[in-house]
Amino acid sequence: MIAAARPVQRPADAKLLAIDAMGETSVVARRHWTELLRPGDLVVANDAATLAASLAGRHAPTGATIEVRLAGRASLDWDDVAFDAVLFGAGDWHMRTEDRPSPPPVFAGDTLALGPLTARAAALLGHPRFVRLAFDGDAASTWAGIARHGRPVQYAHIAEPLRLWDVWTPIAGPPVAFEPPSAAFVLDWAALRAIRAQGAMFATLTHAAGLSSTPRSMRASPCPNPITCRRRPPMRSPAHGASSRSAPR
Amino acid sequence: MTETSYLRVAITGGTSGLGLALVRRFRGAGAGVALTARAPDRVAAIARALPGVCGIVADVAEKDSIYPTAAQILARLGGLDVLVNNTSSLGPTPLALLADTACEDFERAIATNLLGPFRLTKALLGALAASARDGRGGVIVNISSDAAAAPYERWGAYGASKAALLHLSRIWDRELASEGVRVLSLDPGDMDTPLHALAVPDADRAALKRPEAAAEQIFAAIAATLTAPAREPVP
Repeated sequence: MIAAARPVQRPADAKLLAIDAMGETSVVARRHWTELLRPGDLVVANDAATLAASLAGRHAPTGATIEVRLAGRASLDWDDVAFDAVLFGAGDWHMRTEDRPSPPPVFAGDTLALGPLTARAAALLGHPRFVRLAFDGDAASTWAGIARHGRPVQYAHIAEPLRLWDVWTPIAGPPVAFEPPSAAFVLDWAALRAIRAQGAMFATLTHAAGLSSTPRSMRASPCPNPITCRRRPPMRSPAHGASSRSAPR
Repeated sequence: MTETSYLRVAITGGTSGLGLALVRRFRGAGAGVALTARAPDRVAAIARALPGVCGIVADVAEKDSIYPTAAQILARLGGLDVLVNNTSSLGPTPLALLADTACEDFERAIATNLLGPFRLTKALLGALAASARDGRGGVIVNISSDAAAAPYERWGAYGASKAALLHLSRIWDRELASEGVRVLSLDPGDMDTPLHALAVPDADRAALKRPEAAAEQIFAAIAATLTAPAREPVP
């Protein structure tokens, strides 16, 4: 295995382990993965875009530096901006998530100053670092604040900071994932053409992928992993697109 | 009449001129609309005046603003059926001969009229292609100009950037045929807008097209595209 070290993990010489129906394995160039498809196959991908889920700021009662990592929502509704979040203390992503220091003690009602955003710890969720946040202001200002002030969740093994365009897959749609649905990075627009050229079909669903890693002290705590899926219903008959648009392709 | 109330529409430069007229036209048709513009007070005023319209403060010429803008559009609308890249920059004002055009003004025109639409479209293309797959839409409109085709003196920065946008639109429209996404380049004509006033301060405003009339034509073109027969994918 070669550890990832660059923001964009799509090297031209990446390899893919293929396992056939009989359990036989083979290694192929990842860029040729569509050649494994057969007519009638269906490729399903997660089209969630990734939120700028890491918010830097201060714990107002103590003035201590904190990092908030948004980790879940009860729904995908735009005006539902109550987020479950994991709190970190001093330091930044250069330190492994598991090793990050704790934030100061946070109590329900505490205010967090997160750049242009102000949030309250509305409730503790079974662990001192796991809270439900209620943002001051309306939904529009909350989304604007997250989009502009937030950064994607970062990784200690990558020296350069990730930007939103690094974690935004080519097929990204609704911004509901807290970390990138990384399998979708392989789906560039040439690959979508190749899928169809193989006689296979393509469809998406939206899955709000949660945080992949939490502090060591949270390992036995409630898992901040939202699982929220939806499939978009067709709104009208096929029109200017391909004639089979109402079906996955 | 084509049903358009289900549409989710994003319009850049949506607080004045053609952009504002398009915002009003789509919102009047019941569509969900997000607009972008640079001036926070203008964005807030339009969002207040047009309930249901989402106002986003953004400069599409700035690379760093593209993905935060796309995130806000998609968070608010839940997806996207129609994108109108309307924001435009003249380059130098008063308009200048190319040889007298500062490189910074030329860069600004390219960033606003070409790179901005390219970047924003790329960030939103996943949502637009999903819209096409779902039988909803998937239409991108790049606002063009006759200056994209005719070499008007003193319109060098604007004309060159719009010519590039026109060609980009043509290529992308062919490339996206297999996704069911259409890319249209539409020239609204000479309109009575703040941009035109900046370019031609002594123009006879009475002789210019009303932006509302141009918005109606663009609205009709989009509606017609949504109901057009399927295209044969380009191999």
